[in-house]
Amino acid sequence: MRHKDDMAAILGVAQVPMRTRIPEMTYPDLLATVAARAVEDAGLARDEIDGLILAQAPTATLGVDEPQYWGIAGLPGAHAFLGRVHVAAASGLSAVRLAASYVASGRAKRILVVAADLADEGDSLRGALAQMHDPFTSGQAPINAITAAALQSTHYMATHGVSERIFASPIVKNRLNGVGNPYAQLRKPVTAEEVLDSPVLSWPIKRLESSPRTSGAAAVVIGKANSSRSVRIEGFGNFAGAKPIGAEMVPGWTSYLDGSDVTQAAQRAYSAAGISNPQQELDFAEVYTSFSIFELLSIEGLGLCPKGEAARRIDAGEFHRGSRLPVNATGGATCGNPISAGALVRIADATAQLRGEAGDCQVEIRHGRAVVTAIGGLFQTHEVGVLAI
Amino acid sequence: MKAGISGAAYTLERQIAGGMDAVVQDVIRRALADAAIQLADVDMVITVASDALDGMMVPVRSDMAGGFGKSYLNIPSSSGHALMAAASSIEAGDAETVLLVGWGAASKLAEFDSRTNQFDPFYLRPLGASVATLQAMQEQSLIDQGLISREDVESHASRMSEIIWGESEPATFCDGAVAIVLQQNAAGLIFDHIGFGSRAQIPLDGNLDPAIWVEEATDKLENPGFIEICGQSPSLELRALAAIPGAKRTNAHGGSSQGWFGPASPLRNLAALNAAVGEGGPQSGLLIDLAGPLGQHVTAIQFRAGESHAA
Repeated sequence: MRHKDDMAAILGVAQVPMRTRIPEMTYPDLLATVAARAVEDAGLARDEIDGLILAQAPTATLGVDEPQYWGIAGLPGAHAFLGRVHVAAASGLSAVRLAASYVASGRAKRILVVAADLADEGDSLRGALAQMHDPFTSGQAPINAITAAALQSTHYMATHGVSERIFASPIVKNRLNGVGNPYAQLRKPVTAEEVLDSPVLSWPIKRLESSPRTSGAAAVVIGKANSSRSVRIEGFGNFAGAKPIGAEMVPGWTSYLDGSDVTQAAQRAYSAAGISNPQQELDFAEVYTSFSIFELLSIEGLGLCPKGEAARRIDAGEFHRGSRLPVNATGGATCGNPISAGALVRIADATAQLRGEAGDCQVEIRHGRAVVTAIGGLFQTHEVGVLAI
Repeated sequence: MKAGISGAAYTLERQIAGGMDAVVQDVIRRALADAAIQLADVDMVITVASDALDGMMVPVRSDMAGGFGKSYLNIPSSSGHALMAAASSIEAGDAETVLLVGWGAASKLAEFDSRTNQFDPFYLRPLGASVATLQAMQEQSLIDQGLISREDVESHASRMSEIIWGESEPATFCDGAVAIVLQQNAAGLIFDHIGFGSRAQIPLDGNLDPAIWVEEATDKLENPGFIEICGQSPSLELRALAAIPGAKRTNAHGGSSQGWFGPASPLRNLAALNAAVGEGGPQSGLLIDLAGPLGQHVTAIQFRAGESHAA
């Protein structure tokens, strides 16, 4: 485990209220807004930022590829652009991991990581996302984010002998948590019946089990700790998981389906952070939940409960905001998911919690430690980070 | 302890028949052999895969580059950015052995220039600028200012083509793949300093001269003697060379304007430099990566030979 003085830290964070559409702002407007606020939150002047990373992917939602050529002008640190990170929806956390390496290696001092999404730029978000799989036509790929998550959901049901009803549990919890989050896009609670009665997207996934189409932005400043509000980055674990579905026909090759790829990433992060018993050493978790199944697999993969038990425990009151180990206490991606910025939103939410600045969403901080996750691709590239104050 | 290259390999052809996956895997195999390690010894894979030039989804890129089960990053913006990421990850102790992989099949896209997708893939934003028009605008601006002449540009392009292809016929786009293994205590090139300078696509001050940006990125660097400058256009490379007046040997490996297959192209020059150093070539120098259609994202990489590699 790296010594505290050698660790990179989160110095400042910012996000904007997430909405379906933010027509009054352009993509550079959003980036500039969160960048300025994050630098201010860090207690720094803009000229103290000596590097900039754009965590922007997928770019299909923006309607432009290679946005670094036109979207970063005037941002703090843009004079020393350190690159764009593109690991799909994990990009934000991957970029923070990279920024932490820059700081820990001494190659940079204070780095701004930014991301934004305007999901209303195109008529069809699904059409735009399908271009990731089929870039030169507008055809819908047979395997996309929804159908892949449906495959995982049916595998989970068959493995654990449970019904599709369990997928309502994380959603009901998260939507209730979102009511108190001023940045959340969806701030109305839902019942399990409302979730289960919503239209089927790809069985067994219902519309309300999926995160909404979201515009938003977030920024994070990384450097060596400079105040009592700085949040240390104790460890990261990344695991480039499953091959594209159908790429290999290997008997027993189920890491994609059963979430064991998350476990691999978590073990790497816990090892770096010196965590041996996550259930006892963490205060809360912010996990990527663009579909209900992801939260169940993530809770179990992070070692917060045995496999197959996450939904039952949520129904029993565990992982709720007032519980001993809350998961997605702000509502998570269930209540708003600007894809590129989503992982940075998880960081911003976790930082606010650890600082005790999360308002109505605040959880009890006993150990001063939290875990955040992000997923890139179709539940394939997993990023897990351990933060501490 | 600074990170350095322990193995490298590349393939560059005017057009590679068929798919790129076998080509990429071949350069990975050769780079690992050059480093005398196995893929299992690699704990981080970084790809340089642009949005527009390969059209592949992230997990496909990762898997093709040998990333399965490893720590993974995709840095599409430039070779310099990816090299900095690899070096920092090693020096921070977050990885011991990094496999840096880049590729591009630019020749396959040249017919309809899908690089305009960088600005307008399918939503018809009224930007009105393609890579080609931006580069033409920049070149004309430099000529109008008397900083270069069209004859200079043509001469530079011919010289670079001769180095890369053995003939002076200027190239458009080509296909290539590169793999580089980085570790601490590496025998090959060590990266003492990596400097950056960046501008917007259309710089806010209206000046399109890359020499200014290169001067900023090389501000803290010593004059290295040997320089390799990689940009997408010959006028860009030519003007960037002018920013370092003390350079004695320049672009011995042809830069990248005549061997362009995407943002990973300068990694090909880095691999070639690494081989040359091992064969008694220059023991220190500077590689400048001018990414973006105007070369507006500059990375200046100061290198020297590792101790066991030094001639």
